Amino acid sequence: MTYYHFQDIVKESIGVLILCSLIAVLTGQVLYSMQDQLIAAPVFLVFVPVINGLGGNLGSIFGARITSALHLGSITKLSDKELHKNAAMSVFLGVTVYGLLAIIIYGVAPFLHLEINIDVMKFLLIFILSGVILTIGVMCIILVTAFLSFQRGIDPDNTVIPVVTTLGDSLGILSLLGMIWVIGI
Amino acid sequence: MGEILVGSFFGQLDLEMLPGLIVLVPAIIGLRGNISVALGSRLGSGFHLGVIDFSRSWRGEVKENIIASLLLSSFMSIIIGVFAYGTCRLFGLSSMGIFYFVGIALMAGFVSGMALATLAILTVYVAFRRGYDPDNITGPVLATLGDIITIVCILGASLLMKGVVP
Repeated sequence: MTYYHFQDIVKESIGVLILCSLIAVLTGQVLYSMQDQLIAAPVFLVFVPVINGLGGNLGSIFGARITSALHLGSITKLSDKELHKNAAMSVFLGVTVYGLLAIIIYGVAPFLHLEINIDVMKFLLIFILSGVILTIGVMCIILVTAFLSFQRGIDPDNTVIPVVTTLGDSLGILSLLGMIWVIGI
Repeated sequence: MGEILVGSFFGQLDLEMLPGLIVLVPAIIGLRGNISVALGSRLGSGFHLGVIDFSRSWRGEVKENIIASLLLSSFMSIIIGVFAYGTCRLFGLSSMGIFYFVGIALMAGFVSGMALATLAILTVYVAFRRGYDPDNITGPVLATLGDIITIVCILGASLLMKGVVP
């Protein structure tokens, strides 16, 4: 007899996978509704995985630090100074990293045969602002998930990452499209 | 840089020829990550628990894990295709036929699932051989390569569907 059985694995995973897929399809619909703008400026299509990937990385680092701090007792409530320092650091990291990436993409785009037919300032603004909104949004999701889990005696390490990866991707696309819509291209 | 590469493939998708294709993209990429990272994580735990021991018994355990991963990939891909088509109709958006949605999702989901399952086993095996903890390696490797492999599979599947079914 084997330790793992495919029937059990399938049974235990299918619920959460269906839920995640439904959220992702709805995100896809939002993307579809803005498809014309995206085709007009394909460079933003290139951004989608980049923004999401970075948001996920920044989020998991923040999440890992918060859950460890909760376990260690160095953060106990939302008004803790320690928490504010961590949050400020993450936002600062977000601005820096997204700014840097915007510059890299701006430089790399011609080699990928992607035209950037919009104003440089608008380009930078859309990229950095959507990155910052994503970072702050992901941080809020992490804090709510971590504190709620901790209060109920659930190990936040088991809840924070799945919640962040699922909601983070949707939020990344929404913040990018939101900024394109607000600033205009 | 890996992410930029993914994005540039993403830019190649022929979105105007296959209306609604873009709806599938986040769902399939997300699904791929969820299934294959979970597979990598189970293989890692199995390794720590001692039930997957590469020096003797591992084929049975790995087989169960792969069957589960491929079953989930196929079934969820069909669900995603149906969801995508259904929501397009629900919101009254123009879309390609349901056959295209399910066909592209299933093909891309299954092929990338196979590739990533192989990659997951390989990663755990190499980590084991070098004495690393597989938990530190499978996550990042599968997440990054998974995005690239999946988007290439979506691109391939959509080109194939467009060619085969005019």
